[in-house]
Amino acid sequence: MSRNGRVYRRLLRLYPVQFRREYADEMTRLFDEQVRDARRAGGTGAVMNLWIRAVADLVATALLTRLREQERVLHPAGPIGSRTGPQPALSSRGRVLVALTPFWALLLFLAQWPGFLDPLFEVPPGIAGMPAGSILLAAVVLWTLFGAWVMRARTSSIGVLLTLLVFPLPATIVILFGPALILIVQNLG
Amino acid sequence: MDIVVSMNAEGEIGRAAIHILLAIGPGERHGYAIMREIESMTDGRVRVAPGTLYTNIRRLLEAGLIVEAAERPDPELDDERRRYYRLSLSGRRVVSAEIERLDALVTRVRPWVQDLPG
Repeated sequence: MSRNGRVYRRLLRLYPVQFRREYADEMTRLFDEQVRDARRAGGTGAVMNLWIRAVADLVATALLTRLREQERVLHPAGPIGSRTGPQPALSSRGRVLVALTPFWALLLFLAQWPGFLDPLFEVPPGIAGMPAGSILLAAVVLWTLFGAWVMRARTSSIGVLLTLLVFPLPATIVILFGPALILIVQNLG
Repeated sequence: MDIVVSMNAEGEIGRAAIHILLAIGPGERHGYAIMREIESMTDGRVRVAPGTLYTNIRRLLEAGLIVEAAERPDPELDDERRRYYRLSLSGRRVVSAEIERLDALVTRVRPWVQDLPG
């Protein structure tokens, strides 16, 4: 297994345990082969491009898989791809990961545009002597972590969905539109 | 004949899933071959990453549209740890129904699409 494959395999921990047991070897082998193809076709740039797509795909499908596992636990006799036998429960750790996933996905998304968050720190106004962006980001991180803590106790799919809507979603929206809001406030002043 | 495929909450088979079914085709294919076939048959316009591929393969297996081949390839010809998949009877029916649906759709809209400017 290549170094790329080893890193990718570590990221597969985002998936539920049962899914990893069934497909981690296959997925890692496939990713290794994709890296080999990308290197032959376009060198380092193509490998980087592959990594970006693979991680975005992994985060999105891991989140969906975890939500489906949750659905199975709650509705084991459901009609959608239901399985026989004992169902893997979504652990409290798994629920925390679900709560944090949109946040990580957004950070990954923003990391592709260096400087996107600069207005948060470089433009007044400040709050209590600190850049407004610092306060805003700290509040967003705390809100998301609080959401993850709340998610630990959620057992129904509705509860999980509501927690996602109340905590990580507003947090990601604030980060996304925060820089623009700071600039608007400054111009109004 | 109506075929109900409960792949998602809307009771529809997804775009990635139908590409996988079409890529498997009449024989048996492993994940990497499925991925390459999808790229090939769409001239590179559709690319499936490992996460999408295997979450869909799992759902197709659970829905009974594909089955895992019991026999592994000759170790001298291929990696014997690879898992091969083939269409089940239901999977073949779904593929046929999907092709008919797309064919009817294209036949219906082609005349006015051809007349569009640009």
